[in-house]
Amino acid sequence: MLAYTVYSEAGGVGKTTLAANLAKAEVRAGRDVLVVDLDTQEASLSYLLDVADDRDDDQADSLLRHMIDRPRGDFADLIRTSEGIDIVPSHNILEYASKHLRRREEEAADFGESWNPNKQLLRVLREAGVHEAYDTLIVDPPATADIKLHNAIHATRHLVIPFEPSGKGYESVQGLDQLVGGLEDQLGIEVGVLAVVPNRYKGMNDQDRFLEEIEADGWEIPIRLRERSSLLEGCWAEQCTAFRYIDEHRERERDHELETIEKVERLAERIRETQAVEA
Amino acid sequence: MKQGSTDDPFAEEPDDGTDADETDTAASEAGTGANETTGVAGEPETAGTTDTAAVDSTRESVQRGSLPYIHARDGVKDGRTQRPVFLRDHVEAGIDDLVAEMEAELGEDVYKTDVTEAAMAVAQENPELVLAKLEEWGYGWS
Repeated sequence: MLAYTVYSEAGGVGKTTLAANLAKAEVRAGRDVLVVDLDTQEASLSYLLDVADDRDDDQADSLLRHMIDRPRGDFADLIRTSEGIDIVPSHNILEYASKHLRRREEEAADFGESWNPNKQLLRVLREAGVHEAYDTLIVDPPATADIKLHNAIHATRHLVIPFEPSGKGYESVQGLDQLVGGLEDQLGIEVGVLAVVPNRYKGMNDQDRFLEEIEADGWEIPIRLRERSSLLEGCWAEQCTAFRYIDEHRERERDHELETIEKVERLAERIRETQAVEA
Repeated sequence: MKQGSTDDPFAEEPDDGTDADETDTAASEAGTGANETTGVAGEPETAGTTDTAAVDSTRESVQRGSLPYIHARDGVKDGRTQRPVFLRDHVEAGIDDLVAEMEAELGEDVYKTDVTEAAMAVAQENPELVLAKLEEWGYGWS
């Protein structure tokens, strides 16, 4: 199973829209896809794909309940489907993930068990047999680097990093490298970067300079996404992927928008190839 | 983090959700290969099956199927308790030399933690060597 977390330290780089559209590209490639939404922001992937209705129902079962060994039902019942993508939606209780996971860790320690709060997502997904049921797993963590991000990276071991070609964007990749390095040591894992994805690329010289720096640091940039604000706004307004938006909500096809979704499909394919090399 | 693919955390697992762990950066396929090893017939899961190569009297943590210890654990610190140990400088420096030697022999990164514990395990399996060292240090002169 191909598994990756879409994450950037810098906010507003289209992390969630990239995750959703990569998921859709995987579905279009005929693959079974599961997306895990760990982001508690209102503008989360669950909202974008219109599966967020249970997020504030405190009676509802949630992924976090499974992570702290307090499930209210089967993992399979958490899953919602939109545009052929299976999604474990976000739930407001994830706001308190850290508190609940730490509490569970303390409880385990009192009984002399070792229970690592950073490793619970992998445990839950594995016990649910996700790797047998799906070809692709994509995790969309919150923008803040917290225990949810640690769980996401630990479970997937791979990153796709959206990046704005600017000084700030470059720094965010550097910062992420440091954060991941610490996590690798702490959890005894190794994390691979499948792609760095420039967003809002306008072909400007200084942007090119940052892309060259990223490449000089050894990261692969398979595609460059240009600014497509009207397309993205349309996606959020209609709660769908760019693929569906163009298909159903555009009266005429716009070449530059078709080019964008072709790029996303190419990126998805490139990510699959990169992962297949050593897997 | 590095460019490209690393190991698959979903590769065959024990039921407590630990998985193979790479100690290796240069040749990650060595680790991933071990992840998918099917050469050794997978025995039923029992606690403490040790790998066939090493005659091992130390109690290992629970292992998956037939994977050797470093590939069956979740991380280098897993199942280990940190212990303050009193060492003289030259002995402590010797650990690093030993790590370097092991890495040269194995052609891959090796954790200092593993080398230290392995040295202790070897000592426990060869008490006569420990005895000789202690005598060298002055024990047994009475």
